[in-house]
Amino acid sequence: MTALKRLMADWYRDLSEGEGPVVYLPVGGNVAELPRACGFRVFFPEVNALQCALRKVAGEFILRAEEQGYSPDVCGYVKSDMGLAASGGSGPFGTIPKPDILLCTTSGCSTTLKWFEALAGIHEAPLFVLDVPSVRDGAADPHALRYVVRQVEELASVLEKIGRRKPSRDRLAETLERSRQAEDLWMEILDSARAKPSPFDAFFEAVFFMAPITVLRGTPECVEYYRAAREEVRGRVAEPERRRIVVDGPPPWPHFRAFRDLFKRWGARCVASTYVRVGGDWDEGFRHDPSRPFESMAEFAARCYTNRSLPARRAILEREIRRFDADALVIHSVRSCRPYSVGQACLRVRDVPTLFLESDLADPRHFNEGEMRTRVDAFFEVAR
Amino acid sequence: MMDALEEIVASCGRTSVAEDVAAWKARTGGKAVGCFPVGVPEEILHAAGVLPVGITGGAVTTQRADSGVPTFTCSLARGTIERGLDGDLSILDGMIFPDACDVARNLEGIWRENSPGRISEVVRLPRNPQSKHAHAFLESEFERLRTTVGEMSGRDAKDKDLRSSIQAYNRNRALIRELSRIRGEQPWRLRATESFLLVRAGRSVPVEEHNALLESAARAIEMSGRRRRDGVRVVIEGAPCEPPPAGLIETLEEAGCLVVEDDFLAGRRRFGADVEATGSPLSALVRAVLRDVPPSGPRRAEGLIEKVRRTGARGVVFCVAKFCEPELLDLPLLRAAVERGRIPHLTFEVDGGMGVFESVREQVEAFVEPPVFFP
Ligand code: SF4
Ligand code: SF4
Repeated sequence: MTALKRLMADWYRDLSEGEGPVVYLPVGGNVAELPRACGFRVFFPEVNALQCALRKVAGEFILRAEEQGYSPDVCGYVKSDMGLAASGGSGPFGTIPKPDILLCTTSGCSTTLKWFEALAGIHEAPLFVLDVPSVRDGAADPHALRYVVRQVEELASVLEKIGRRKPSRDRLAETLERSRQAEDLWMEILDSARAKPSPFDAFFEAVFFMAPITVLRGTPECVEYYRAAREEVRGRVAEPERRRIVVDGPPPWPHFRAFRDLFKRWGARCVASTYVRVGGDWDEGFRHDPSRPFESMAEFAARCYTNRSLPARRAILEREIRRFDADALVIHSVRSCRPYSVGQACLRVRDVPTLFLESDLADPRHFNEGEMRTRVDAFFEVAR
Repeated sequence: MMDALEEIVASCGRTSVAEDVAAWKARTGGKAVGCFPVGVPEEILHAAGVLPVGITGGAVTTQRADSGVPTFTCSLARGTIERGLDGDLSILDGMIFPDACDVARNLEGIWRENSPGRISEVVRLPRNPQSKHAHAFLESEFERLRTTVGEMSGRDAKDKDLRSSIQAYNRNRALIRELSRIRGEQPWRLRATESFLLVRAGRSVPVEEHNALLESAARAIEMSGRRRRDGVRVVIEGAPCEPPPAGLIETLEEAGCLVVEDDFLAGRRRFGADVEATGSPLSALVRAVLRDVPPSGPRRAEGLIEKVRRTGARGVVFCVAKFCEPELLDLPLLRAAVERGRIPHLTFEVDGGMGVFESVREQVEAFVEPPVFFP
């Protein structure tokens, strides 16, 4: 954890003190490698909102945004960020620099599009929308992928103008190669949960372990982090586990510990989760590929979990349950995130006991610990 | 006594969507496919002999927790799935959803999970219309839809069929633009409720039939001697996808508003000018879509101010569907813009199940009282 904390602190420090143009990106299916190779510093409003939720300051920011007319029924991340902006842009991590450009990929959700439009207005900065058509089943349609590749090319010339630096082939290839290495290592860590008992929790731990691949993909620090993390996980002596669960949905950040403890009490180990795929996913051996720079970035953008249809998501869940030999499915539905929660109740897998829970990822008001505990206990009691 | 226009409008609500569709199917033996708002190119369905059925909301009549649509979702989405499963929309042979918002995008999968054997499609509309490559993408997307629909109906939508469908829809849009023009200039000649019901009537009948209805309405407006009515000119904004119930619009009018412009039923009104009916018809449709992408965020706010100035409106009434995130996220920006322009405004969150409008009436009456408008 300390290595991770240091990495995140460095990321924030570089943002507030470092040099070079700044780009804002969403998490879902982003193409961070490209601006990075053009010398941009990369900032993620969602990650910042997540940090605010985790540090229990999102609640105040959300109220602030609601005072300004944001509805109680919209994504808490957006409100947390708007509340932060209204408070002068100073959060618990210092001041975030203004963007030179905002680059919104649409694979994660359309909500970020509205969010980025509003931010572009506040900062009077240009917005580039990288439109990533949703994927119905299997792989993306060729015509859709072609459209994304072409837009990434258009983006490259926009970034070149703003960053005043051409994304040299070599720099881009180097960045993508680092992404690939980190992705290999990260997949190895996630795969270690196939062992019985599993040495690694693919949700309660993974949601932290995934920070560098989300925020620093393409940097040497990111590769280093996963190399060390893999060694650390390899050297672990796995604690006994009583249940092996697969989790669908994001965590309730403001009440993370309480939520985790509800499962810990039952010796439940999460062996696979979908939240680790919200950026993009590395299924079926997909990796960023320096020999196909634009194509692999486009493919990555399309592969974001919420960019897929519900039947495709169910197929992923079924496969993970089998591959990791899980005995239960936990679906955590969060109000904030409609791309995740609308239709989530359809994802039950036949013959696999499923627990359905509801709260939120940003707004602390939607978490009812007592009720949640009753449901978790009842579920594991029956399924014992 | 009802005037001719009132009689025509009253005839719009006489049959339900399910009855209209059932009658059409019995008459033609064809298939009917629901088009979720906003942006399914109905022309393609029409050209293949399929009846495009516009989904316009309404009350959520059944309560199916297992439908997968959470309660914190707009009543349009919930209602479409629930009524599609075992309500009046179960007569549809399929659904097409545009990926216009996060909810609509997921509805395709929900429909597919729940309705095996029925068509379930998604149309992905470009969100980066500035890209030089948006055209090629959308054309392939429409081509894909043409194939799916053709396979379903057993009749290919040939280019010449598509051209004549485009012409029929051009006529439809021109008639609707005419209604808007009249309302903008002389709102007392056509009430917003009437125009809403007239446009909405096109959801469950072939476009030619709807054109005939609109033509007779246009004639009736021409002939009618309705007297000038006073009221406060307002623009309604915020309901392009899920419209409010007609009763709410009526209440606004009764309480003293003259609605000079609104954004209801945007799908039927999304093109500001005709789609070309020569050359490659799919390509022409794509050009029109890319030309008239509705503005969003700060640009939409500028457009709203412009709309208010152009129509001489004295206020803005926001009617936003409850739980509709895209609208609720634009709302603070829109409200801030009208406040900067010192334009009075009022907001309602609405849903298809609303049936009592007393509090709406009270708020509107207070809103249009002289002090607000003549400080
Ligand atoms: S809707 Fe979901 S994916 Fe989109 S910003 Fe909110 S939490 Fe993130
Ligand atoms: S009413 Fe709003 S939330 Fe519902 S489908 Fe339409 S745009 Fe999406």
